[in-house]
Amino acid sequence: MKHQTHFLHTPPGSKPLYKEEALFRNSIEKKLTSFFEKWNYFPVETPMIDYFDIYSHFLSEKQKKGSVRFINRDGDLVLLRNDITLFAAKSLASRGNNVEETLKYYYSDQIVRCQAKDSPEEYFQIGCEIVSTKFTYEEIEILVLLLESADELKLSDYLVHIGDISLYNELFKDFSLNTVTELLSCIRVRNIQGLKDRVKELNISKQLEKDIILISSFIGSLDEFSALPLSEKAQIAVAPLKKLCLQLNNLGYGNKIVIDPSELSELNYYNGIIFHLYAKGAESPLVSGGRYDTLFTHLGLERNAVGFSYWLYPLEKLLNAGFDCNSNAIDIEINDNTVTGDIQKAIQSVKSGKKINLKY
Amino acid sequence: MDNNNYINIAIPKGRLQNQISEFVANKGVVIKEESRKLDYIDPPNGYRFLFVKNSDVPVYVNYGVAHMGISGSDVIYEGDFEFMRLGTLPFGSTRICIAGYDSKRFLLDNAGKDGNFIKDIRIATKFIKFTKDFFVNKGIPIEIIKLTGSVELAPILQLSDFIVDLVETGTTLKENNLSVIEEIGKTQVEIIANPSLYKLNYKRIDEFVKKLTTQ
Repeated sequence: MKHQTHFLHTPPGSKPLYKEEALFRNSIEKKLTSFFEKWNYFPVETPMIDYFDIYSHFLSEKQKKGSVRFINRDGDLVLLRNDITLFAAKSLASRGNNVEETLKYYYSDQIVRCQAKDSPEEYFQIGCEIVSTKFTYEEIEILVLLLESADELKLSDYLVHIGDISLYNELFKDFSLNTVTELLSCIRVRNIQGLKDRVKELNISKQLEKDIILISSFIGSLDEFSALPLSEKAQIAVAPLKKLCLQLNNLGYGNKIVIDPSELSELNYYNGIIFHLYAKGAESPLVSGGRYDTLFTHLGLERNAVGFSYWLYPLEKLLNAGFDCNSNAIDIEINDNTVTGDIQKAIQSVKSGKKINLKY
Repeated sequence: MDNNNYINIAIPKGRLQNQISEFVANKGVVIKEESRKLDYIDPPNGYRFLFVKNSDVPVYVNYGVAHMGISGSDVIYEGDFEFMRLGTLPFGSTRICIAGYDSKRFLLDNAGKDGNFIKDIRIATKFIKFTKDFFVNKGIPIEIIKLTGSVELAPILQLSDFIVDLVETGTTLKENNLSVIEEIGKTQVEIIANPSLYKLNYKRIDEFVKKLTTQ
């Protein structure tokens, strides 16, 4: 077998897109970005390289290992963009108090990270965010945008699971950071037996023990969530999540959302709702999102923030079956005798909004 | 039921498969293994059992071919994928141990102490990630040699100083004049699920888990 010259190989983890694949990605990108623009979101472009230190606080050890870092020519440790939310927040924070009161923006760009063994290392995210000095109904707006954009993409068999990490603030307020981390990691992977065992060791009141198990093992509808026999304290903790889901139910999204307090993230910057969109036929979530005020606080800017990102790889795999890459272009042949006329015809056709394909 | 509507459950072929079949039969779930067939469909319950190699269970679950799987925690750890850890089964628990000639025990004892010259310690094992993580956490530098079977041969033929392996009764070790130097972990049989597939099918998956984990 004859091998290609080594430098022409594509390294593992990256994937070039050709013709139909690139057209397909463009069509998704156009669909989502024009949808965000209709809701008055403006585009942002974040840098591909930034100083690592500023982001270090928000990345777990695993995420740090999965990021691409190197020393630049000034001897500084820099990071290739591995999360657009992080990079966009830092860009805004660097403008200090000159940032407007409310910003609504979207992005569509590549990131580089190694998420799991043998997984791709280049990912493409399209998402939108709201950053504001004070939130009222912004979380609802973001979730409506998510559910409506899924409709725009003609996704049908999907569910959005919504949790809220802040509800654990009250329940876990007397526990050490290590204990909280252990409990949350059990909850995230729905290791309910492990959670029960760990909670038993904590020597807490029976009521608190019951509240923790009932809430963190719950997954289901708003009605089922409301029927949980929780203490008054726990009812207060879950009230914001219930209120949010009630509003979504009133808007007619009841059959698309699931209350799921095990929706947590490996990312350290979420401090409120956390949600993912799961679709039939996709082995990983199509969308991740949530509330992340603490990220801005850490960056020195007091802001509320919420947003979500579509992950293009699983989305493309799922939608690919229905994509029609037929370009519908009109063929215009250039003949030696009529070159000028043929090219003029092409120019006029394009000006009148037609798509043409010059043939020689 | 449409083929797409079954809950696919990957189970490891071999000894563990027999234990699982026997266990779930008492819970009203039947797994029949027909000669050379790679799956078994249980239409009344809507389950499709996939018989795969032990070490491949996490792979089938990770890539969403199987919604869930039953596997040893050692295999899950080595796979290094992220799963829902839905429960454990009350059998198949085993010790994971460092074993070797007792006369070489001093190598490990000295390696853990400050100020000692550390000889390169060679360890043969199937459990690369577990072994690496264990010794890195202890701060003991080692060289790992990956073997896929008959690991006990490695110290006998001086390929390695020690092995890290599952030890049930210890009979094989004894018969070869080897012994357990230290127990460094315990494995158990776990029920895992692909996170996304779990979220879309949580009611049916939870129902299966409840069936298996309720006394």
